[in-house]
Amino acid sequence: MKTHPLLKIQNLSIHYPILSGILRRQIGVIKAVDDVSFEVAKGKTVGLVGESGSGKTTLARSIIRLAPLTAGRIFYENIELNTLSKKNFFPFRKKIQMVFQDPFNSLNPRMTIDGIIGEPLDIHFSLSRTGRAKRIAGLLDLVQLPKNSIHRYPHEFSGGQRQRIGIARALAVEPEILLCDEPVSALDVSIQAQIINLLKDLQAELNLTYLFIAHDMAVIEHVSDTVVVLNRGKVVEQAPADVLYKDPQHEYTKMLFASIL
Amino acid sequence: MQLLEVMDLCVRFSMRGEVVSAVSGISFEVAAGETVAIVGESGSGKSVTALSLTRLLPERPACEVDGHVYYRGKDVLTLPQKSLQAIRGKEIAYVFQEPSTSLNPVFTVGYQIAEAVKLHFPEEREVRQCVVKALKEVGIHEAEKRYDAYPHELSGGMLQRVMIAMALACRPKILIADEPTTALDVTIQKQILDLLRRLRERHNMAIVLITHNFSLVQNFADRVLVMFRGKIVEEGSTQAVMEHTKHPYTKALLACIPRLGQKKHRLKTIDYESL
Repeated sequence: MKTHPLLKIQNLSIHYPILSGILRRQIGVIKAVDDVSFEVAKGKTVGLVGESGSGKTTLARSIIRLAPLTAGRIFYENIELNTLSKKNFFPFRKKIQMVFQDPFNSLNPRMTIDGIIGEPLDIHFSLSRTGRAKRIAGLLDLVQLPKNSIHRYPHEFSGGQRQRIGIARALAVEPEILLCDEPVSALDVSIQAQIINLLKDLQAELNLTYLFIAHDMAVIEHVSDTVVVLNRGKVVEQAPADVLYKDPQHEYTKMLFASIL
Repeated sequence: MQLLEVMDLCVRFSMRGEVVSAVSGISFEVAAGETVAIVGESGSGKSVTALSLTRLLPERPACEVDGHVYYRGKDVLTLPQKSLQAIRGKEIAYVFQEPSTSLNPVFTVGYQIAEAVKLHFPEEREVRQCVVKALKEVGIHEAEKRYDAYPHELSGGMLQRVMIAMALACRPKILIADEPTTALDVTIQKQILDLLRRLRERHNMAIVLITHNFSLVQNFADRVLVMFRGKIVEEGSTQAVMEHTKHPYTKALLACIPRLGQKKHRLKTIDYESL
């Protein structure tokens, strides 16, 4: 039986014009993402690897409309997301959430944890005051943060704890898909292991689907079922993780392996 | 006499009346041409140690530094400002983690390297030539042209090369590299390490490498110091520490690194309570 992909990216391109002079004439184009296609099956993890500038973050951001598409289609189950109006896209914001790379810059320093995790709840659900408090307590428990965290501010937490807050915020609206944009690259190796384990536990518990972006080949191997290798906006290789790690085909993938210390 | 000798270094910060001890009594030596790695997690005191070696930390009463840091027999911690300035940058130079924030965005990279050269070699006539040579040495193509580039015009890897060029322009005896590749891609990381390795051999320069990443240390450092909560918990030659790890913290730190071909295992984490 063929499982239906939960998320499907088809011939996606994101180009940025290079403008010059006072007339802002276009003198060229940067192809940040160029004709990229891949699928993510429900409950699975697709790892997206590539160097900085390879377009992996732009690609993830475009899925939740944080970057404009030039061409291509994005499907959630059978629904084409990119043609939806702003209003019709709104419910999908709940289904697809993002965990950002830098836990220091992705949390508002002036909001308490209660506000940070509660904000998506206020937007997408109308909960009673006790219901909201209960949900936030449940989320903190899920990401293994102490209950008394809710009235504290981001600066009172370490990097690993902040990343847990970011994950709790993403999970608040009960998403199906998490776009994890280098969730561990800003963290120490020991904390990195904790967060990777947490993400894997959550995936098993909540049947989540991950698009996992990283530049560390060992981390990608650890989490992914399928791996997509991006170089300069193009997919140079995609294969099941065990196949790719045993027998990389493309020169660029081989080079990535060669740079592992 | 060793090139650098640190004895009983203690660093304490006072924050709102509370005293926080960042480094509590560490001692180590660095010989000429030797590479020593200081490994530890954030908060272990490794960066503070690096900064205290040339007194780059805040002055009293915000921060108190005790102990001795002997550079060629002179105690850096008690030197007058003027002799200290002659050591900073000239004898002991730094490369920091984030190249994009360590450079001034409104000056060209060439100008910023030239600044260091002019300060330490005031009699030098051909400053521009010197800088171009330094840029060439770190593998920047068209160095003559790049001299006039602003930091935002260069990539992260290129900027880190600029930082290394700046540090090396005055031919220091010791280079302190504080997480020099953490902000860079893996492919670039390898290039930067190869570059440091080449330069180390050419100039017989000692390197103090500060990192949280053990895999970086493996092929690069002669000796390793493992820091945990402000203390050195283990030290020895890299090979000895990696192969016959003694301290439980070092073992835990090595175990939590994800490695290729170990996919099915759950990653180990550090149980801090038991340490």
